[in-house]
Amino acid sequence: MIDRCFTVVIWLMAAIVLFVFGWLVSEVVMQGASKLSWQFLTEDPARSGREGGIYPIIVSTLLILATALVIVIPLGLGSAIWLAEFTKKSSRRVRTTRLILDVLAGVPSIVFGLFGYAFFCGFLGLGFSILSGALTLACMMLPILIRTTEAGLTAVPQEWRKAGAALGISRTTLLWQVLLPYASPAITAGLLLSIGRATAETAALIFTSGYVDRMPESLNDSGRALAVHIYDLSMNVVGGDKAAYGSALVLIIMVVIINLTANALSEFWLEKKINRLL
Amino acid sequence: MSNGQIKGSTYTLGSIEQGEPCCDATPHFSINNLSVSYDQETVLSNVSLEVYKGCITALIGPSGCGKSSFLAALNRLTDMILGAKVSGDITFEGQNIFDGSVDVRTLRTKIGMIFQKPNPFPLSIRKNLELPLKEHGVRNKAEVESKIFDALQSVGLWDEVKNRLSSSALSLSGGQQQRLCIARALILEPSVLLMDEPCSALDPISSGIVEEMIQRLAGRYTIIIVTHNLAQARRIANYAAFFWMTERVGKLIEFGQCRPLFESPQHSLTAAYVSGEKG
Amino acid sequence: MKPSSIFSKVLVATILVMLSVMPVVHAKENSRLVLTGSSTVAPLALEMAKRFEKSHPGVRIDVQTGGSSRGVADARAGRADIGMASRSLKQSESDLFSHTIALDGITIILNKNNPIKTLSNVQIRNIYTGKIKNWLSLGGANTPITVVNKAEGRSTLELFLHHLMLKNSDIKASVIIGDNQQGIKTVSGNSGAIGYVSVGAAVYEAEYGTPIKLLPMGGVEANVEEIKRRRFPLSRPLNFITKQEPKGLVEQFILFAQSTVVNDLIEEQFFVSLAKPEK
Repeated sequence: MIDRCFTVVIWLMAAIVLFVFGWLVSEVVMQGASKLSWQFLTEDPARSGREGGIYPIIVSTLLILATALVIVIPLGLGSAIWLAEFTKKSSRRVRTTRLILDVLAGVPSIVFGLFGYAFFCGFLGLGFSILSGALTLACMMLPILIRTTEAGLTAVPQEWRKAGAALGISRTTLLWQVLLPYASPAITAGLLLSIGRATAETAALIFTSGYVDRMPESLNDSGRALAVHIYDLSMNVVGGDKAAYGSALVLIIMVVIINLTANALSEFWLEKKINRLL
Repeated sequence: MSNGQIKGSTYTLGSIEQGEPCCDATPHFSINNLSVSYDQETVLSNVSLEVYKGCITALIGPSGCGKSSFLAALNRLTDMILGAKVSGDITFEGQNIFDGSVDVRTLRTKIGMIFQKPNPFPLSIRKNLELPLKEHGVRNKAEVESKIFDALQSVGLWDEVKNRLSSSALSLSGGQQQRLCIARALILEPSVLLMDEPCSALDPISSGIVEEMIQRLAGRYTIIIVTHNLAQARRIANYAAFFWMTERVGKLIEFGQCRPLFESPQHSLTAAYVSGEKG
Repeated sequence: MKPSSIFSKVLVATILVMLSVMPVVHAKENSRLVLTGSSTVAPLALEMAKRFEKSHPGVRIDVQTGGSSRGVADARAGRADIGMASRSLKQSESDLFSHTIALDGITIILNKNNPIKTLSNVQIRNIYTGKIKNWLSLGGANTPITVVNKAEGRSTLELFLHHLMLKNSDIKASVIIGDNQQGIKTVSGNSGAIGYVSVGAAVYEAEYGTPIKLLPMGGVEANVEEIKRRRFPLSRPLNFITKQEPKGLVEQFILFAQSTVVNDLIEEQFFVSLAKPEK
């Protein structure tokens, strides 16, 4: 009886979540689909974004994201490997590092935005630029990526490390050939989580990569991210709603494409290195 | 001794099979006053014994008495445990393995190790065997192929897996996985095999197959095996070492030829343990 | 050791793609202007900047947001060539120069279903200080009042407080919003809500069927014409702020922003232009 109630409740919860999600997506699709066209994707914005397209904004968004990833992936993987493979789980240094990372992962993005504005734009003199935005995003993404990668590596059975050591296989080989590929679904999940957080980011970017909706010519130029554009259209531009929904739809599609690509890449890597249990 | 290279060897596992197996009283390992501690907590204290060439030495005793730590010290696997400290001397083929000039990775190619739980890498059967070979510089395709064949032959796995070398090692049964692990150790042509309860995680039939294989390997390899199965130790071992834990520190109580140790133990603890009264 | 494979390749590929997407890095032009400040002015300033860039090749104008206070602060600190503020300069800011480019009006908005037609300043003050909590006592329906207030630091809030002679700490708000649109959305979705937003924005939304209504202030209808006549009490100037008497490019751009050339842009944002069309 209790079991049955529990089952019903679980199904209900899942249904509610699915319903809300479906509603959200269909709202965006219905409102935004009419705006979506080739012109919208390839033209410059006009009339404060109410008309024209979002081409420079898409380019800025991708540039910010790619730059952030170039910074985040080596740093994040390196730190995670250090935490998972080269330290003792119980040592104070490691526990402190972990605590700091967890706190950072939960810090509101506006705090990162203000930090980025003061440090990257101001102190380092990078000004409003894609580079400042990317660096700020990188700070936000790092804790998420490090902790998920570390968890992924920690979940790799210890037996393989022993087997590798006993065969005189170097740590580097073992990491590249066995541990990282095996942990790659977790790493991918972490990467996607952090990309998700990054693409949704407004507060951290409006003060760092800025508001300029022109096509950026270099990483030193200010560039408006999609999320900032959506925020501006729906908050500051009277009559910007349609374009905001259109941009939101583009953002969703972009996130879906990034997700699929990342999963495919991870799958490919996994398949190449590792034969999964079928 | 250890010049960082695997010395080119002309023998194949197949040819060993035809050689004269021998167990003679030449020491392969001489262990002197070996102690192991983790985070200042001693788990094994002052063990001295000799391991003889080509013989099977069984390490027996209750859980937690330091047998596995003893085994791990022999190929310096203790190095990878943070906080582990080893003192004393282990002389292997005439050289102290703790000597600064010893290359651990080369050392470990000469001393293979098999674990309690079969631990093939989550790679294909072929890659499991290729990985250690390539790591130690064997890249010639024909050479790799013939070594894979020999290794799988010597553990009796070739016929079972020859048509599925590229499928996952994890799709094998437990016993097959353990034999693959032994093949993976043998492919580097070691002279010693350390086995940490290699049969205890297997079903009785697989266990029997692996045990029979160990007996076939004896003579060509020096084998040190940790086992809780006294009957197994009695069946296969030439020498036996009995470990016991006093005040949470493992000690070697008695070491000698297998049969005398079981039939007329010198120490009362050994007598109690082998008769099943203690442990 | 071979740090091979996909991950590093993907990395390299990413960098290459990035580099190829980017056209040649341009040398920094010296004819670049930076504007920061009011998020109300920013979309307008951005459009003006684009038009200016078109007629002045080689000039680049970067518009950033962050609120009026930041616009003033950045102009003073020299971080921006021009600050944007949707309010007049305060006493303490009299060392700076302000240049009005347009006017904006603030109006009280209610949900369309609310039967209330007008509210006096005293009534509004009582609502916002929490002395009146239900529309019933004002002759409306028996609905609790949802007080929508702007976030601190927004010039709209300051203008509103100044007009009603209130302090922000006096206000008992149910909802805190940041921008016009958010205020309009909140009020249109809640039949008991009261809020204040730009007249232009409210007029546009009401025309397009958003269920809100604009209350007259001090007997003057809330619409663009009344603001232009400077009769509407709750109106504010949209200013460019400079540290010094504008010179060169800064002066050119400010004059451009105050000219009739950009009238259509101002009207598009539902603001009121001050420039007189040339006869």
